[in-house]
Formats: sequence, C-alpha cells, structure tokens
Amino acid sequence: MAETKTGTEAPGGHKEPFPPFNPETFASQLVWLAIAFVALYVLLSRVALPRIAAIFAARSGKVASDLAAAERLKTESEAALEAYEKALADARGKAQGIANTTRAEFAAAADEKKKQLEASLAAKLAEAERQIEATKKAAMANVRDIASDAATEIVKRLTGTAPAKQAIDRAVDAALH
Amino acid sequence: MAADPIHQFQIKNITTLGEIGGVEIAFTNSAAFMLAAVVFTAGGLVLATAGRAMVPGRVQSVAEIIYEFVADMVRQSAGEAGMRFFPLVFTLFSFILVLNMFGMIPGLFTVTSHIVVTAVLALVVFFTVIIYGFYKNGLKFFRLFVPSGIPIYILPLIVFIEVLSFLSRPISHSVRLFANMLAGHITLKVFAGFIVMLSGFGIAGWVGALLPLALTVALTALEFLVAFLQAYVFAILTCIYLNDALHPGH
Amino acid sequence: MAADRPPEDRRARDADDDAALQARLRQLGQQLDAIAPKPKPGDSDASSGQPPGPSNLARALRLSSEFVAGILLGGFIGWLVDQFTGWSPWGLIVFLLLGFVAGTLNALRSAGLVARPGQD
Repeated sequence: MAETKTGTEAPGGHKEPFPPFNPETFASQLVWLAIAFVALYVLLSRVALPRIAAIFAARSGKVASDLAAAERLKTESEAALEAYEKALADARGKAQGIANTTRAEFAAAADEKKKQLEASLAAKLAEAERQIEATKKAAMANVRDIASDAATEIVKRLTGTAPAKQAIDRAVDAALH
Repeated sequence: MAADPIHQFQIKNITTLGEIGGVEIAFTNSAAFMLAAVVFTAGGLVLATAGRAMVPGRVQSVAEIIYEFVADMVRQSAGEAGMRFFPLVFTLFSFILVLNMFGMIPGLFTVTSHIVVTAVLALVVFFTVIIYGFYKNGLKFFRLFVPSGIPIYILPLIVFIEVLSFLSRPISHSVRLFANMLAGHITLKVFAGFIVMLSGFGIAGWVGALLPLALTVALTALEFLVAFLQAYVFAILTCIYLNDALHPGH
Repeated sequence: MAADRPPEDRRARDADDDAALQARLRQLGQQLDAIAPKPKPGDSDASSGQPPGPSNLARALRLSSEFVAGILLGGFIGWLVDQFTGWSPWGLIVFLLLGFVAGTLNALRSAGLVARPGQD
C-alpha cells in the first residue's frame, strides 16, 4: 500500500495512475458519496428504521398483552375451579344437613308414635286396673254381704236369735279389715 | 480486459455534470452504484416492512434480522447509550455491505475498493466521535489519552502514543476496508485470468486450468465472507470508537 | 386457551377430570412463567470494548491493519516534520518508531491483551 501511495505522489511515470489513487476522480466520488450517504442516512433514520422499530414495539406489546390475557384467563379458570370446588363442598354439606334433619324427623316421628302407643297402653292398663278394682270392690261387697249373711245365719243357729244387723256389720268389717 | 486486473477499478464518466472550482464533477459508474445501493437498501427495507406484519414473512424477517443484528452490535459494544448512533451505524453497515456485495457480482463495480470512499466513511465516524465526545464530556474527553497508573515522567510519551493511536484509527478503519476489497478483487481477477489463459492451450490447458478454477471458486466464497466481514468490522469498530465518545474513562 | 370452559360443563365431570384439569392449569402456569419477562440481554456498559462470540474472526482481521495504520501515520507525521524542519531523516526515524509503538499498542488492544485507556 505504501509503495502505491508514493507511486501516485510521483505522477507522470506511466500512462494512467492506479485508479483508486487517481485524484481526478476524487471530487466526483466525494460529491456523489456525500449525496448517497446523506440520502441513505435520512431514508433509513426517518423511514425504514422507525418502521422496523414500530413493528418490534407492536409485536412485543402484542406478546405482552397476549401473555397478560393468558395470565388473566388462568387466574379466572383457577377462580372458577375454586368456586366449583366450594360449590361441591357446599352441596356435600347441604346433603349431609338434609340427611341429618330427615333422620331427626324420622326419629321424632318414631318417638311420638312410641309415646302415643305407650300412653294408650297405659290408659288401657289403668282402665283394666280400675275395672279390676271395681270388680274386686264388688266382690268384696258381695263377700261382706255373704259374710254378714253367713254370720247372721251362724249366730241365729247358735243362739237362735238373729243378731243386730249393726253388730254383725261391725264384726264383719272388723274381720275383713 | 481479462488480463488486466486493475481495469475493474477504473472510474468511467457516464455524463459530465460540470465543474466546481475548476474540478470536473461527473456522474460516474461509481456514483451509479452508490445510488443503486441507496435505492436497494432503503427501498428493500421499506418494501420488506411494508406489510408491518405481526408474524413476519420471509423478506420482513430478513429486514428484522439485520436490524436486530446491528442493534445488538451497538448495544454490546457501545451500551444502551450508543443506540442514539444506531441509525449511523446501520447506515454505514448496510451501505458498505450492499456496496461490497454489488462488487461480488461479476462485471459490477466495487465502490468500496476506492480509498476516497472508505476514507470519507472513516472520517465521518472519526469526527462524529470527536465532536460528540467533546460535546458530551467537554474537556474530560482528553482523559481518553491519559491512561491511569502511569508514572509522570513517561506520561507525555504515553499520551503522545495514545494520540497517535487515536489518529491512526481512521487510517486503519478506511485502509482495511479498501485494501481488503481491492486485494480480493485483484486476486480473483488474476486467478480467473489464469483460467482463461490456460484453457486457451487446448486439452492440456483445460486440465491445468482446473486448479485455478478450484482456487477461484474457493476465493469467491472467501471473498463473500470478507465482503460481509469487512462491513461488520467497519460497523463494530464504529461502535467501539463511539463507545469512547460516550464513556471516555469512567 | 382451553381452560376457560363454562363452569356448568365442568360440574358434570368427575374427580379424575378434576385432577387432570388442575394438572393442566399448573402446566399452563409454568409455561406462562417460562415466557414471562425475560431480562433484556446486552444492557451492559460494554466497557471492555471486546465484542463477544462470532466477532473473533473480525478481530483477527483487524490486527494487521491496526499495526500498519500506526506505522503509516508515524511515517507520515515524520515525513511532514522533516519537510517543515529539515531534520531529515531524524523526524522520519523517530516518528516511524513512535508509529510502530502506537501500531503495536493498537494491535494488542484489538486483540484484547491491553486495556483501553481510561478504563481501569
């Protein structure tokens, strides 16, 4: 490189200087390079690059919003699942409650019936006892009558006189009690 | 024509437009390719993104990949603050890349094989660094030339070498691109010339031409790589230099 | 998303489907966590100036030209000094040497062996 450079600095040797070091073409190249480079810079920095940057921004925004939506849907479905599980647990609890109350109702009804039955049985028993008592009383009365009659008769036979009714009754009562 | 590997760098006037200060200004093949690169780059990017599709098609994803590639380069080399120079870096990268790739098409002119062009591009970066460096950091920008932890008695020498190193940046920046494109195209042309020359000698020549043919194919592949890499190197160095303007010593 | 069926639909399901649904929800949650905010890469200060990864080849390409540029500049400045002061050839010699040093420094720097100035 060094020799070629010095070669152009001492011109006039050969017919044409080495093209990249030919100063005659420098001015045109510089002018057009300036035009081209500035034009490219302006076009890229004003139009092309902002557009690509906008595409990237839009895409990352879209990705972010999609992710956020996914996240949101996930929490929603989690909440739904939780609600579902809660509803299930509630239903289970309710069923349990219904079963309990039904059982209690049945038990109460059965108790009631049993009580009624017992009451009626007791009433019947009382009635029977009462009848027995009455019968017994009647029987006792008959026994008394029979006894006083018998006593009167016995006394009549033994003494030949009928005793006083009151005395007999007293004696019978004393014997019976 | 095939025999002269220099001919391809010749600048030809298409029309002469006039003179500025006694210097002829002409519309040349070089200018035509520069404008073509502008139309191709800007037009391509605008058309590719015309749909503004949420899910990009093939062309749009190419545009997006290039955008991301350059954006990542700027972010990694110059930090988030460097993104203010993203349009400049993108313009440099795409302009050089497209011009290099145009040059790879046989028969087309390689604008970047001319030192004036690469020098101007390098100087644009150089002066951007200097102007923005002073605008942003004021005199603190000089700390770029003063490494810390240097004994005072050799500091002047070190500072001078740092200044020299700083000044040599636009040279290496421009010469690298220019020399690579120039040398690559000359080599390709020479080897391609061998093929033509050897195949002129009949059957034996055809057999002999196989070696340069294989070499030319390999070199062409290499040149495509170089064409891309040089655009990349130019852009990444731009970022690194801009990083100096953004943070000249913390 | 498949998880937002109406709840009446689900009410009809049995416990097996319940478990499956929960598993799906959990998986969805994990997926969402996986996609959710990735930290933006490359937000560093990049103060080392060393681009990572695929640019190694690019770095190698830079080495020689950094070196050459330093020498070229040194030579050019030396030549200018000689022209204006008449110290020839000492200006050229001294500045060529300095250029050589600067070129070496540049090359080492682009190879990442020497820190950039001011970045301690």
